[in-house]
Amino acid sequence: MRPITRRRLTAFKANRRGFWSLWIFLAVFLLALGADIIANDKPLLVRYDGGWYAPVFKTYPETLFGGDFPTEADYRAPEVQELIQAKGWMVWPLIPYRYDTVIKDLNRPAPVPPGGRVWLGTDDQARDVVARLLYGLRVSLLFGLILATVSAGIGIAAGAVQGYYGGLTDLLFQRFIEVWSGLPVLYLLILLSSLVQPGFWWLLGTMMLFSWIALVGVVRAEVLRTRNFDYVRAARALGVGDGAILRRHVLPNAMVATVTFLPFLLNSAIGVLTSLDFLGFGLPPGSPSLGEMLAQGKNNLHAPWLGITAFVTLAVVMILLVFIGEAVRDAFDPRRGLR
Amino acid sequence: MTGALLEVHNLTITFNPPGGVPVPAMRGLSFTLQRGETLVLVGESGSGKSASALAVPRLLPKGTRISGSIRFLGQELTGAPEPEMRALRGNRIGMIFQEPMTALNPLHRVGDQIGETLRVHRGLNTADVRARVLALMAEVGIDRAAERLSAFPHQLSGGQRQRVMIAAALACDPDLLIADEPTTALDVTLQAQTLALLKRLQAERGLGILFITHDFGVVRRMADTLAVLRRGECVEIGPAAHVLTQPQADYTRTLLAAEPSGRPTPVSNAAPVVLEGQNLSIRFGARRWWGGAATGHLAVDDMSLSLRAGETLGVVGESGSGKSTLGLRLLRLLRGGGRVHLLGQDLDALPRSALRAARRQMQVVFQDPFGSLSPRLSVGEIIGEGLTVHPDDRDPAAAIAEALADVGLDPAMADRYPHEFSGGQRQRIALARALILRPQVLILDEPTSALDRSLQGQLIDLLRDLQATRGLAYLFISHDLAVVRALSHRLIVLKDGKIVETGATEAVLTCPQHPYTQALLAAADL
Repeated sequence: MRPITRRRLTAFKANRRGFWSLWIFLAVFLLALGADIIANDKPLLVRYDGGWYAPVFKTYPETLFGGDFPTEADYRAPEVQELIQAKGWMVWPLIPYRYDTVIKDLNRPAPVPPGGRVWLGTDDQARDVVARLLYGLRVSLLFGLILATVSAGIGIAAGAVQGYYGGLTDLLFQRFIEVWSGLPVLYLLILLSSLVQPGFWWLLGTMMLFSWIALVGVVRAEVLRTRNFDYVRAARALGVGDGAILRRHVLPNAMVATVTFLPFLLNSAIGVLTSLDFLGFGLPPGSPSLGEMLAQGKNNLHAPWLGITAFVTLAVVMILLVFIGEAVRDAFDPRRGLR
Repeated sequence: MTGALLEVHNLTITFNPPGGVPVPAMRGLSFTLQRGETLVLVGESGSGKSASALAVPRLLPKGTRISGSIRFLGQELTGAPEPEMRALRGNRIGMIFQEPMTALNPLHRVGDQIGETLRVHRGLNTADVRARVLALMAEVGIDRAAERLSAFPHQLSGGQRQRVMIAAALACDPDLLIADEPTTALDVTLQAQTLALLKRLQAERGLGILFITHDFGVVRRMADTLAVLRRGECVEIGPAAHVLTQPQADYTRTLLAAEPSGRPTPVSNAAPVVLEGQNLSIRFGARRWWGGAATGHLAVDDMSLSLRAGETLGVVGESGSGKSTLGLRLLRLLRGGGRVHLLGQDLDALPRSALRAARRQMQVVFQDPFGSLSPRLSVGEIIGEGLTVHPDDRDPAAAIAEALADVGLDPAMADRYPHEFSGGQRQRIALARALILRPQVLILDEPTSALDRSLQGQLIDLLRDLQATRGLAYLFISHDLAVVRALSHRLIVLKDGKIVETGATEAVLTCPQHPYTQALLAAADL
């Protein structure tokens, strides 16, 4: 490990709050990634007539278990359950509902308050809040991660080109960015949602068109600074090509600014998706989403568990990310831990 | 009053960086400074000289442990409460720093910065401050003071900025002046003026000066008492005349003996010309709007020069004279007017790929040993980079080892990182990076000026050996005439982007023709 990396790692660990935030965030992320295993309306494992089945990962027709229909078995239906119990057994996930499972055997009208089988209650369509939360978190975090990573990539490339070549390239690019960043993103998304049914990838693509701008300025400034270093001049005097100079000598410096920025970029991406869902211009109806849950909370003020759950989850995730971001910033700060 | 202005006894300083191991900066330093005297702390970078001086007004980073005794005007300063220290700083103790551009706030007017201590410590009203500041500016030799009062630091020249710093330090009529390398960032002519000014002010006011430097030329002019520091310890202390003429410690002797000496080996007139520049010019800040006349500043103005194999051409001039820009133009890292011929090839006419191939014949070593090596690459990767662009039949690892051995470093160092090396070693690494391609021309842009004298001597010897064995041609850029004399066959003197004098080194240095060369020589004190 390079000494500078080791120093940064030590500095990162020295910020206890950020260090623990990272672990908690990773745990939450893992939970969200495993949403299919934790909350599902299919059993994890079925033992039927001497055979092993994993319905979560594979689709089995009902006829396999002696049912009437060649379609996929509905494991929540009492008939199918009886068929399987007769010749074996099944293991259910911790939460036996998916985000879109409508719980029919509730003894009161939805939304149902927390307690009993539904830990955090149900929403106004009798769907389990915990299940929706897990799936919604997964969508939000993946959306944020992909958006942050890809727009960081584009932003670094654009900033590096501007900073390294400077002059007219820089000038034209900067004017373009100024015009481009003036476009109202929200109106564009509203227009889009009237043309197509915006899904995950549509939203991601549209957001990507604009979110890369955030990093360009930082990277450009860093590259402008670095390209006048003597070691870059020495490399040019050696005849090293522009691409290799950027990759070997210039970009590692810009990476510091980028990595520091990344948690905050992720935060804003999650925030944007949530607000779009809240306004109803986001993911298609029925999709699990934190924004949609907030909207339900607003529409069902007599069911405060909806709003509170979404709010607490969002607040915790964002605070964790800010803490991590602070620790990363500390770790990369050259004024700390030197000498 | 018990006589001594400043008595330091058994001063020990330990840095405690947050999350790091404690680093001792100074152990057991003792000295006494009288009114009207100058005590010079001399030593290489990292010797603890700045830390020791900054410990007096307690300006060291938080968490630094200071033990021992510092008595100023009979008052004990170690352990003194912060408000008392604040009353001393800028009031009884003035400070001048190395770089006047960063030590002055760029957003405040010069007059306000000089008068700041007067308002803080004396509580004077605006009119009184103005009168006092004008008197101070006249005292330190800033002409048109009334006009300059409202100037910003960037509107003044380097020498004027340093005068402003001195005026600010002296505003409250302090008893002690701490000068931390005040002349290092200045050109030789300005250095001489600044030192003369400090001497005059000292005589007029009876100031005690604690002076920090690494330059023995400055030591000779300023020191009454001299303390030689090395790696956080005081090697030798005594009256300057005594220490300079009869040094007791070995280390002092090596420092004193390290003045560059020797002369370059003569070169035959039949040697082929390897590098030639004709009518070179570079204009900065030029912008032509819709075909208007070009404006901006001519950094290099119609210079022509040639360089033979095995020859060194010294390029001398103050900062801003265009020396480094000329180097970059010859390397074709900057485009501009005129023609550069390297081994008969016109570099400006070559297509990209041919230019890249031609670059292996001409390499460069820069001034700053810290800025010229990428901190993220190992020494082996840095030196071997040239081979990745211009591969030849040598094995890269062997070639790197050979290049390291050529510059007197251990080949086993290839796996280490630049920050593990001292300034002198890093400069050798930069030289190895240039030499691995076996170029014919080397452009040396002040390679010795960031190094201490002892290291300078070693580097000069190394360069001379390499020239003798390989027939290298050097373009040696420097503002230090002593170093130039030891290395160059011929010399060109630059001023404001123009060549004002050219000729054989000894001829130029013994009987300079141009008044500017004469002024440079007078200030350089060879």
